[in-house]
Amino acid sequence: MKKEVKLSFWDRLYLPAILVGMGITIKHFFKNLFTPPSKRYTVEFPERKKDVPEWYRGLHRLNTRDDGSVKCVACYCCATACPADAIFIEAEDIDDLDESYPREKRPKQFIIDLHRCIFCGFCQEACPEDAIVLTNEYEITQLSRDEGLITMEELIKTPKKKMD
Amino acid sequence: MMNIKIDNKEHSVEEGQTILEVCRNLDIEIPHFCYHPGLSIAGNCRMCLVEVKGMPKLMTACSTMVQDKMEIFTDSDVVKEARKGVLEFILLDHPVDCPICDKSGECDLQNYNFDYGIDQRRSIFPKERHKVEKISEKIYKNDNRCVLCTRCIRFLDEVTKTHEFTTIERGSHTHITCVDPEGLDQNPFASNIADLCPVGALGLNEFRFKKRVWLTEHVRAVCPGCEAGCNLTVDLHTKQTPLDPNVGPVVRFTSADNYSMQRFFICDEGRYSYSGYNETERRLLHPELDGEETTNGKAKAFLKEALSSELTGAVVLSPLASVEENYAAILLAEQMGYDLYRPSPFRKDLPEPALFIEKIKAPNHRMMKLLEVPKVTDMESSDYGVVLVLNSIGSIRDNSLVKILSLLKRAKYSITFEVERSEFSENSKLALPAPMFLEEDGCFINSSKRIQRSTGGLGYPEGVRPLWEWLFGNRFTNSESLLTQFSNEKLGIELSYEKIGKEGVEL
Repeated sequence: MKKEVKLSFWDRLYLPAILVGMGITIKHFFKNLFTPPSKRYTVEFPERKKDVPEWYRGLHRLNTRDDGSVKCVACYCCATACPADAIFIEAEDIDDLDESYPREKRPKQFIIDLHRCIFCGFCQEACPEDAIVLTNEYEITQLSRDEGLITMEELIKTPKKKMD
Repeated sequence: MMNIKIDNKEHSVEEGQTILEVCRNLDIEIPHFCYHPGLSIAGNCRMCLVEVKGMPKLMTACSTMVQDKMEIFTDSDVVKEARKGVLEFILLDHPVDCPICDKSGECDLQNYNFDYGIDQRRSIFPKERHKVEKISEKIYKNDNRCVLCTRCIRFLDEVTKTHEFTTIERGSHTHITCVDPEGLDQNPFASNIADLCPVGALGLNEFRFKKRVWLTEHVRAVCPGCEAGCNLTVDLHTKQTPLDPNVGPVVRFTSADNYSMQRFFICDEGRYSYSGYNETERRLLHPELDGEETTNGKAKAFLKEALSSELTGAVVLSPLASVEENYAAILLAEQMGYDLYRPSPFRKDLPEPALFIEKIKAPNHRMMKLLEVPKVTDMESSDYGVVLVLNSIGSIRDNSLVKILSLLKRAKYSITFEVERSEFSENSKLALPAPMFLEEDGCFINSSKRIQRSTGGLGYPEGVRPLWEWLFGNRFTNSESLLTQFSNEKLGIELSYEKIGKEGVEL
């Protein structure tokens, strides 16, 4: 359906609308000019970074125990819960079983395909060991497809979530 | 027949059964750990407690015989409370390490605790810890998870009669120990205790941390290892991932219960034969004409030329192939007036003890005997113009192999239907790719004349078609129609996959 709009003389001049728009822009220009940089909405991105809310779901991290070993026990719960099939695990037996701190299973390989991941957070919900978490890291770009497959070593190095 | 009431519903049941067996046949679930249909009754797990009207205490369903006018309650408040208590006691020392337990997903304790158990542990005392031991080449033992149902002990005492396991110490320190690890290594049925274990206390080293149970697809099949025709549950994992640690499409074989045959266990030879189905190196996936890959059209043209040549012909059936595949070859022979032969299957001496293993190492030899097909070695002349040989390599004796090779070499049109590149396919003009076990639905007739169905969970690979499609085109739409025709014409009974069902039909 086509709707006929009759423009008045002032509308057809276009000048008043342009002036109103320019007015808003100029208003913000002066407003930003006199507010300190920390309170401005617009951020000079690569130099300055915006803080994301605590619940933001960014790059994955594999948590470690105090002795530096990875918390993950390769139970495949995250891989099962993953709706995008982005997690691949290969499990491994730990031969030296310490009786005081029994551990039997650990991941030999743990790969997340960032191109497949939809950052839904189901993996951290499913994890029985609090091993996999989604951090607030949002700068995740790669130069090639292969770099999107992040391994266990890289996942351990992901910076922890900032908690206040 | 007796009339009993279960949960206020009238049932008439046969005499001499326990409450648990009656309920199992009526599809009423009674949780149990120590009861197993293939073993004696122990009554030590106390999980199957039910209320019986007139009895002062709860009764164990596995050891109480049904009596006339008995009134049983399997779901009353008292029973629910008792189950909760039993599970709480069992879980006192259980590590609840389901995330790393290989049994999780098919664990009785896990399932029952979800259905009947309590949410929160009340005990504040630390749990007892034991080390995980590899007690034999095949089996590991994790005492932490054990619920002391003694199924494994009873299996080794009663079924194999080798007595490798026993319980030691008393009270809460009781645990199961292996007194004869060497004997367990040599026991040809030892791996069954991993299947029997209702929790993850005993497991196979081969399957340890290999694949989670819930990620696999379960398919019921018939073991092709020998003539006994044991039922298998085959775990398949067909999803391709970029990270696949040598886990092929066939993950493992476990035994499947067959109540009609009263058979619940399989031999280790059959159990560990699964890895052979993951090897694809020598696999034939395209038709080969004179040793070179060719198109389906050219292969079909060659077949047509052979069948219309009006030369004498011979068809060699296979004890490895299913009833349907063999019947397709028989139909061709009858249509064209070709001679039918069968190779002699490979035999192997039985191990000690010889349970559910047969000497003849081919699953469908009994079919050829039923149809009285003459042996290929008894053949007088071997001059045939057209020869069709079904896939049987690896399961036939050398004299049959030599005879078939001479047949193939002398024929003008020699055709083989092979899974792998073999001596047969190399010595024939046309080699057609055949579907493997687990790729095609098929029935097998075992040594006790029971026809059982094996499911093809993997499906045909690209390029592989069933034999009846090569020979008869669109005349048969599925393997079931061949089975129905076979049973009508050769056995005089009407069979279908639905009728054969899970447990097979005695012929």
